[in-house]
Amino acid sequence: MDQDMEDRSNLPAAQVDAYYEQLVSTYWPPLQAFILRRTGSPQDAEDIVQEAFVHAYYALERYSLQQVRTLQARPWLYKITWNVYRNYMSRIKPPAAVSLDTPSGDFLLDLDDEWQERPEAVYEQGERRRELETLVDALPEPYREVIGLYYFDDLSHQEIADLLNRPVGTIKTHVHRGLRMLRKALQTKEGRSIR
Amino acid sequence: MEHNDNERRLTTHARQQATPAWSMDSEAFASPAALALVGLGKAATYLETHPEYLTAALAYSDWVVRTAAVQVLGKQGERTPLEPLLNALQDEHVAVRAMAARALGMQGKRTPVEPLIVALHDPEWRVRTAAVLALGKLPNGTLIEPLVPMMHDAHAAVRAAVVWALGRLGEQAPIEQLVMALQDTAWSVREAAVMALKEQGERAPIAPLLTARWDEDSSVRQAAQAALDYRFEEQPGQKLVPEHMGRFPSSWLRLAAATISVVILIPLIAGLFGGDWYVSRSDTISKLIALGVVCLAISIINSIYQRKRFSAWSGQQGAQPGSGESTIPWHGVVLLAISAIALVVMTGLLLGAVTAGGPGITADIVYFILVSRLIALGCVSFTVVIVNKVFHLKR
Repeated sequence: MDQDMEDRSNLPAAQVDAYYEQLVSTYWPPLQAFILRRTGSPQDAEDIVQEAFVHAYYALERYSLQQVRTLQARPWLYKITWNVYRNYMSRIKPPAAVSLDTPSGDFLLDLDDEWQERPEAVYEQGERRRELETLVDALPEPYREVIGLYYFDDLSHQEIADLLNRPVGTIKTHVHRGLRMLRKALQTKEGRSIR
Repeated sequence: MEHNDNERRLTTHARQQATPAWSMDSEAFASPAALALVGLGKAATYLETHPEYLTAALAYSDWVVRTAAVQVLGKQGERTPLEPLLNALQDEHVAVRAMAARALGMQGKRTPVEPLIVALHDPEWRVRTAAVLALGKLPNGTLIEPLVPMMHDAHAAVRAAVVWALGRLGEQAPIEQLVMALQDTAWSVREAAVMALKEQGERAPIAPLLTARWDEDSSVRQAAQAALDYRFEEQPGQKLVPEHMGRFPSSWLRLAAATISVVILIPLIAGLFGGDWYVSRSDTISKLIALGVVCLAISIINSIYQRKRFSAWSGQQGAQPGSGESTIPWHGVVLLAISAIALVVMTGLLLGAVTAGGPGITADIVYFILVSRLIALGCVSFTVVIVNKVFHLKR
């Protein structure tokens, strides 16, 4: 079989399985956290990510070797998961608020080791995070979504653009404006609490 | 969401409790649900190394173990007995049925077609998808009749699998159906359609692939670009454009715009530097700045209007390469000729009278004028090159 034929052929079943296992072990936790932040329900998040992975499995079955070689697994899986999530939400529930907590109950934003040892600091940080969560929730829809994907899910501008089918310039603008709104809201809130 | 609460409980239960009758402890088979659903994980690993338990595992009460057993059995090739796989296709659990369809598709010439056709009507999309993929792998060619109606399946994964399977039919692949699939609402189906059309080589029309390069989804766009790159390499001046792309200017309009952009520089140069051409140094510098601004504006307008990537293919939109039509980029040749003439005229206008001198014109001023006019010539030449380049530019 020449190189061209090999590239066009599908992955053997054993390789599909091996690659799939690798994808599950690498991306299951971040994808579950990604969906959990949106649904707030661990069971729903597990169902959605499960279904997304099964989608990915059948897609790998029909992808050519060349497609798999050039596949950017991370954005591809996020896109599949996002689609499953959107379908799920459109069928079942209204959009949920963005939650900053991870499945284990930890807060999403990084906590220093030092803070882990200081409960009062952790509590304070938790309070601030909840305030931030409320403020992010209050942002208008395109900004809330984009800010969540950019900062909490750590997706790049390009990955968000591909996920939402919007131009990358629009995403950058949304991130910029969303942050500005967030900063302004935070300042207003702090100003009010000082008074 | 097709997982109901019952299934969710089953999944969790399976991950924690799956204990076969033989010598395994309860944690031994615990695997992430995403693996268990496709027959992978610890149960499969165990059964691969202990095939003597496969028969018992196929009848085991837990679906995680049954799915793993079917998955392992399917990979055994010629040694695989078909009977247990056919029985598994009737299993109560969707994961077992889907894996049975997949396993049957791995049996090459032994793959039974009829049970897979029946499985196309399974209520679960996972089973239907696996059945379509299995039928697509038949060594003697996919069956068109049962698959074509599946292109209207409610689930995108099934439709994508159908498009993939139809694309493997070679000469018999229904091109029209594949092109129609490019209009599907799901990006995965459109992507599969692009890949299927790529497989058709010269049989596939180019226009739909070109249109797919502007799909809203990045995966579809990339697949379309890869398909076009695979089929032929675009040559400079032979840029392909989709048919019926009304929102883009026609090649003649574009040529007219580019020509005007070049020709308009002649009266501009004549107006700025002709006649009583020297008043003062500041006056000359002002003229140079004005010329620079105009040239920049012309370049920008062309870049936007010509849209970089929409140069015409052989003067005929939608023409196919390799179809025997002329591949000389006539529009580009015309523009180049007009540009050359315009440049000669402008050079004459700018440099013709420099050495003429006049009352009160010192050598110092002549040098200044010469340098100014060379700058002006550079400005217009650069603009002409930009206009030509943008007109021809490949994506």
